[in-house]
Amino acid sequence: MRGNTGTSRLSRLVLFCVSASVLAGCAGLRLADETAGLPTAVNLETVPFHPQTEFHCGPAALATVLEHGGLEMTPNDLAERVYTPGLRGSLQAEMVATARAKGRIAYRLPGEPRSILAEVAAGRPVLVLENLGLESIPYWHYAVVVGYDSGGNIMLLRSGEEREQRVSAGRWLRRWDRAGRWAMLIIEPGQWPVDPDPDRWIAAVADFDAVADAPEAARVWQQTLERWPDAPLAWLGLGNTEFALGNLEEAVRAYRRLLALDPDHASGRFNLAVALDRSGRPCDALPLFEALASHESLGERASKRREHSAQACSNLGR
Amino acid sequence: MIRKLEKVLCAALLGLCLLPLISFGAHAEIISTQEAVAMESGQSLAQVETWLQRDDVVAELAALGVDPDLARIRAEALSPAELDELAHRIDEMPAGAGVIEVLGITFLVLIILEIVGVTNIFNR
Repeated sequence: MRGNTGTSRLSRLVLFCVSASVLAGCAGLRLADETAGLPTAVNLETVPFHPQTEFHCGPAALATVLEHGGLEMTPNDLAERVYTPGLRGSLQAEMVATARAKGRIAYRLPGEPRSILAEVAAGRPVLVLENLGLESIPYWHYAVVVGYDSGGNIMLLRSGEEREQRVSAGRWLRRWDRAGRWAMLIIEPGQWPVDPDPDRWIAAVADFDAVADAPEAARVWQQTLERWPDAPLAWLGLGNTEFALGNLEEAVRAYRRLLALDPDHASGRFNLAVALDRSGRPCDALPLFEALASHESLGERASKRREHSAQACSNLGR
Repeated sequence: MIRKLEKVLCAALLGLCLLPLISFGAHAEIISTQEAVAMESGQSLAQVETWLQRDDVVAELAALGVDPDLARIRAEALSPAELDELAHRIDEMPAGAGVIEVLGITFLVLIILEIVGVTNIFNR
């Protein structure tokens, strides 16, 4: 048994080397294959750089993308919004929430390198989360992808204290992969990702809408409807912002467009009924509330409103 | 003394008057777009409204050293899905910290290896 120790050590070493190379092989990334139809090399040199101070890679990376989008920001301004002392770091949720609070839409890119490369090629830096440690002992780190070179197979990043970090594509992919392939595009209202997915976009706009001024939110819903006029939730979004602005007629019109696309849309029916009720048409609202009275989620609220509309309708003498 | 009593009574009365407003404001009149998106992904409205009260996330952030007023402002910016994540898994979630911590831990590992005798970097 003892005599075998040397051999077993050797075999373990061989096994380790083999598995390491297999793992590396799995996570290989050849930029030349990923950049078909894109420029072979991009370097967004005008993207600003904020070197991070201790544990503050989150605020630094966020300031980098926000400032590129035209907002004067320093990492210090952002630290109080994203940095959590007890975690000695910044949570992804708070990074994107802060971008929204600053008037930007946070669009989560699909977890494919190509989607990042395409945005960079279109002139937009991309915020990414990396894991510089191991799966079991993670070291989370935010960085900003600002370019690539498919000839040298390298990625260019603003990272930590390095203005232009050059990392081999394979090594970078492993870091990104270990962090769940998280990539965020922080985009100004009126702009579009290169290849937007309707569901991802609408979810991003709904979250933006929740903290944005109503007129700004209405403009982004209009923008969305120009591209996808058949998206029910975008009509709901537009109707809700019009409602918030007190434009009840516009709200009613938007909700009706939504119901023309999806007649059973419960939130659309409920909100249409409320808008009708509020604009002096309780008798029109009544059947909508009645139809929702047995709805699983909205039933209770619809029943309450139904009584109110019924009273108001009978007061009108109809 | 009577003045003080008056003040307390006044405050109590005002509080009573505001109470219906507060409970009315607990959910908005219409279904918000964010709530509708959450409902379409299978959440119940009651669940989403619970998340949107945000109290547990404010408490979590405050417990992690964020100023309580700031914690409230920060929680106000989160979406229902983000609130759910933070309320239940804040300790498991990645928090980007950065290179300096990595260097620190690497140094610690080196020291341990040195002490255990695996390496001899500092002791040649």
